[in-house]
Amino acid sequence: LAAAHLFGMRSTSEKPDQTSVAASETRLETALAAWEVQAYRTLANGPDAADLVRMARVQALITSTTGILTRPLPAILTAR
Amino acid sequence: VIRRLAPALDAGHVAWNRTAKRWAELTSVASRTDPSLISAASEVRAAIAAIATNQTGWATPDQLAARVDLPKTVKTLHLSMIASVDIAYVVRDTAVDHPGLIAPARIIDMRSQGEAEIAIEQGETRYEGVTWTTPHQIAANQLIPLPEPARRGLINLADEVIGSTNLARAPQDRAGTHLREAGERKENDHAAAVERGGGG
Repeated sequence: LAAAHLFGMRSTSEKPDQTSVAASETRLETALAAWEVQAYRTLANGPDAADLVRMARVQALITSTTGILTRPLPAILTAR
Repeated sequence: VIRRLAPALDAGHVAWNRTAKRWAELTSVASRTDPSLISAASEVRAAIAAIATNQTGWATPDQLAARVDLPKTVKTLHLSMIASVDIAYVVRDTAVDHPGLIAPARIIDMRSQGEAEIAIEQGETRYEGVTWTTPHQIAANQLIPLPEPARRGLINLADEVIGSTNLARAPQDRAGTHLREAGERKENDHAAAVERGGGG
């Protein structure tokens, strides 16, 4: 699968949807972890006002996305 | 619990946006964003866009449910929100004592005056009759260090962010427990079904 991804070939998984779901989740987890580390690094190195603007905007995005993703949860939990 | 979370998250979103707007006023043509921070921010935006948006805006609940395991993804975002409180504290500390904070005189003058008037209304007397910039600084729109009231405004905003994020955290902590219990219940049911199947 990894080789197929690297060379731009189609996924050969029998369940491509599940592969895609896992990839999206992993990508988000990785991106958020990298963001957190980088934010602390920048803050430790004497941030510019522009850095703080970027941080606040991304945090606003994370907060609003949490809100959007939380809304359908009650229905999903009830269905389970 | 989850329904109670929505207003707290909305308040957190508004507080972070206001913080971004206020800090943006302090940028000048010389301001540069850390390239590594830009890169990390772009990846977060791209990852969120892939999950939570469609061609017209936010994805519908059905699309979201099809794209990701929602409880797991919300948990990931929850952890990120906990971290965001710590970032807000550091942003607050930066506003309190960062010696290199400078900004254009015109916006500093306006903001300082606004914050000073709010403080005076609350009984603060130190700011009465104080001017924060000189006419020359205003005319040239010089970059000047932040006076105390301008810092105070940034600190108040950071406090707002911390307060609203903590509000969003508290019910979500309980929601996390609820999600974990739901998952455990599901596993127990499955184990019981397997046991019944094996025994029968």
